[in-house]
This record gives sequence, C-alpha cells and structure tokens, in this order.
Amino acid sequence: MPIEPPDSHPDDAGIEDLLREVGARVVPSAEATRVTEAAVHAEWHAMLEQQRRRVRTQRIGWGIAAGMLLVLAVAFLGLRVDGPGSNEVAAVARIDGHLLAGPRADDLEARLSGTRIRLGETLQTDGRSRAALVLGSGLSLRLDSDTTVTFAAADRVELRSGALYIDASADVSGAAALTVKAAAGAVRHIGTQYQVRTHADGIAVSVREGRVLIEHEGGSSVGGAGESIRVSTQGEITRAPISGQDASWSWAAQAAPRFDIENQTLAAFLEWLARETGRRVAYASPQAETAARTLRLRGSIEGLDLETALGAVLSTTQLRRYETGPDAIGITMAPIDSATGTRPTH
Amino acid sequence: MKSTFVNDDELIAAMLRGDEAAFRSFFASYFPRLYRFALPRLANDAEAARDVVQGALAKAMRMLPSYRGEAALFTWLCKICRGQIVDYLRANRRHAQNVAHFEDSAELRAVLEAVAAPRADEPAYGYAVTEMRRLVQSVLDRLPARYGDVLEWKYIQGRSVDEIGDLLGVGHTAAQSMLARARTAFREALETVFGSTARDILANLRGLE
Repeated sequence: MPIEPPDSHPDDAGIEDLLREVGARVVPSAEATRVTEAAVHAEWHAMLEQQRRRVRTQRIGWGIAAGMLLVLAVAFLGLRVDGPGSNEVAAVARIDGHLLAGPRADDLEARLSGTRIRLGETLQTDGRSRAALVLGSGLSLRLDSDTTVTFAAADRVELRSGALYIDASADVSGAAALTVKAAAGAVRHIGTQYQVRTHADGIAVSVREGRVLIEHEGGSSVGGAGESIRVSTQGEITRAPISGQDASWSWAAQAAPRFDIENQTLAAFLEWLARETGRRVAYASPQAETAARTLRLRGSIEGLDLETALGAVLSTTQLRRYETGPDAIGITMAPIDSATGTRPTH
Repeated sequence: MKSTFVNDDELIAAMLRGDEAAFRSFFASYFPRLYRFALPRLANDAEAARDVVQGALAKAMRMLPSYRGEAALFTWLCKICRGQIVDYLRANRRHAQNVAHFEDSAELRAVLEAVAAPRADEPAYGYAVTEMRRLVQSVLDRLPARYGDVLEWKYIQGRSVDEIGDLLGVGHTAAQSMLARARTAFREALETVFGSTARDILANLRGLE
C-alpha cells in the first residue's frame, strides 16, 4: 500500500482536529435521496428530450425549406411525385426497451417512439421490452414483453403470442372497437379496459372495465368487469374473478405512455393515474377536490413509476393521501395545524 | 466512464450531452449540500427540506441549458433553492389553493428571505458553539468539487486514501492530490470566513464550551 506523504502545512493538523471537533454534516435519509434522485433524474431526461426536440424542429425547418425547393423544382420540370400511402393505423407512443416492426414477420426492424405503424405490419417485443401504441381512434394498445402482433386490418389485430392490453376510454367511440384475434378465439370490446394473453392451450381474457365479446370454437361468450375468462382451443370456458388492482395489470401501467403533467390540473393527473391503476379518486372534502381541480402542475414524471410519481407530485402541493381501500386513491388537504406545527416559519 | 468531473463547466456540459455518470456525480455532490442549505432555513423540518430541494433541483434541471457559469454551480443552485424556500414558506403560511408564484410579491420575498436566512452563513464572530460548528460545516459545503466530502471521509470517518479513491472512482495518486487540494481550499476558506487558522478556531470553540 502506498505511503501517504506527511502534511505539508503547519495548520493541517489543526484542520484534522477542527473537523473532528465539529463532527459529520447532516445527510439526507436514504429514502429521501432515492425519491429525490428519481424525480430529478426524470426532470433531467425531460429537459434533454426537450433539447432534442428543439434541434429536430430546427432540422425539420431546414428540411421543409429544402422540400419546398424540391417541389418547385419538380413542378418546374413537370414531374409527378406520389405521396406516401394513407394506410397508417397506429403510432408508437412509448417503448420500454425495443420494438421491432415490419411488413414481414421474418424481417423486422427497430422502431422508435413516434413512428407510424402501417396496415399489415407485424410488431414484436422481446423478453425485456414493452410498447404502447395509439390507434387512429384514440384507443390505447399496449404490448407486454415477448409479444408478437400483426395489424391485419384497421380494426383487427392478430395476437400470435404474448399479451395485449386495450384501453378504450370514454372518448373512444364504440364504432372504433378493435378485435383481437388469437388462435383460440376473437375478442371484441364494448367500451372497456381488458387484456388478452395467449397460452399454449388457449387464451385468457381479463376485463377491468366494461364488457368484451369473445368468439370461439364453442360459440360466443360475454365477459364483464372483474372477470377473467380462460378460453381453450377447444372452446371450453372457465371463469374466475379478478380485481382491477390485480398484479397481472401492472405491466400495462408500466408500459403506459407517460402523462405530460406540465400545466395540467392535479385532478387530471389523479384521474389518469387512477384509470391506469384500476382505482378511483376519493376526495376527502369538497375543498380538496376544488384544490385539485384548480391547482396546475409543472415539471415531468418521465422515468418515475406511478406510485413514485404520485408521491412526488403531491409533495409539491397542499394535498396529501389518506388511507383508503385498495380500489381508491384518497386525497385530502394537508392538516393546517400539523403543517404550521411541524413547519414553523420562524 | 469517469465519475469525477474537474469543474462545474465540464460537469454541466456532460449532463447536457446526456451523460448518466455526470448526472450521478452531480446528484451525489449537490443534493446533500443543498439539503443542508435548506434544512436550517426550514426550521430543521426534514420533510420540508426534501420537498423544497427536490423542487429546486427539478427547476435547476429545466434551467440547465441556461447555466452560463457566471456564478459557481452551488451558488446558482442556492439561489434557486432560496426561491423555492420562499415559495414553500408562503404556501404553508397561507395554505393557498394554488401553487404560490415567487414573483407575486417582491416585498414578501424580501421579508421572508431576511427572516429565513440563518446567521450561520454570514462571516461573523461571537457565535454560540452550535452556530460555530454549523458555520464550519457550511464552509465545507461551499468548497468546490467534492472537497468537503473528501475532508470528511478522511478526517471524520477515518477512511484511507485508497478508500476515498474508490468512492470517487479515481486512483490513489489522484485521490491524494485531491485531498491536498481540499485541505488548501478549506484552509483558505476558513481564513476568509473567520480570519483565523483552524487551530485558532478550534481553540475558540473549546473556549466557548
């Protein structure tokens, strides 16, 4: 081990003694460090993404200018340029890991968030990846890990393996219903949140909200909220109850496109988070609800899991959680007495 | 990837390039210091300090591209944090329905800053023992790079140079060199703040007890 040189200044020994005398500085708790680092890290990423978007916008600006020149040149030369086909059926909203896609299942390429998916394309996630798509109707479609799915039509996907989660919120019309076709049957929703998972001997359809219609070898069956229906390849049906907060839903929340909180009300954020986690928002008082509806948020929750995001957002407000059952997010005003009692302002 | 950055400009440039190691270095260095800056200004309320510092660092991230290095990074962060503290104190005094905006009342801001600023950050004499201790610790936090941590690891925690090198992600020689620079910086800072040497300050402290 190398030998450390002696102190080179007469007061160095004094420094050592002084530091020992004053003792160690206060350090934040490990929990505070973890939560804060996650929140600040997400903010840093949001800033980087904004910077990248700005650069892209500048490049697109130059691209448009160059494109206009090209159009003028083409027009001048009397040439005709055909535009791209209009068979786009979805856009990639979020990717955790990698998403492969392409017109042929044996020749897939990596896609980035924001790219369009065309009719006939097959999408694939590996064991460590998930993705979220938004269909033209506004319907949200999420791919779990190890999933392969093909857009057979604008309103029909063929699930070859893995699992899909479909969220048709109230503003998605019934006419835009999507059919999920799998080996053991086809599932069509009637205004709902549900997931379809393939198994070696069939499919499992779990319904979180609304109803689904399942067409299979044995005929057709309807599944309602809180039900998990297993359909075998022979058309046998088995039903079991499933809660909206069951752990089997959590992958879909993790894959969800992140809510951009900037300038949104706290209430909008809470409602989004409640829907993603199969819960409802329970305000302790009209004052708490009014506060949530009038309070506007700033920042980003990018990179945070939903519970951490909820804690981080609430910590910047005068609202807090209160204990409820597992199906609700309880929101209340921070107690005035305790706030003044524990946080005196000199 | 390096885990120690020579100066603030290099650190910020790396963060703006998306360097994860730079972010980790930034957070490890500045979060505890900023927390200690906020804590006494919030009557040692740990939860409030965490909330405020989280808000300040989040804001700093949004403003990072505009950091020009005119002030030391810690000074810049303290300025942002001071604004967050004022916001926090006002919000918790009034229990306003909306997020308090800093610029709403310049008078209120001035009053709160004056009230909230602890004397311990001002060069002074005649402090009580507790304040003297905190002032010395505050000097450590104001040192550049991770000099304060290095001195604390060496002289309070009794870590070896090699252990310090491991914590910083550098070799023995670099750690030893950083320790020497940290001692020099601390000695000069003490002379600036107290106008005396470490030994004299220590004697003063012991005399007060």
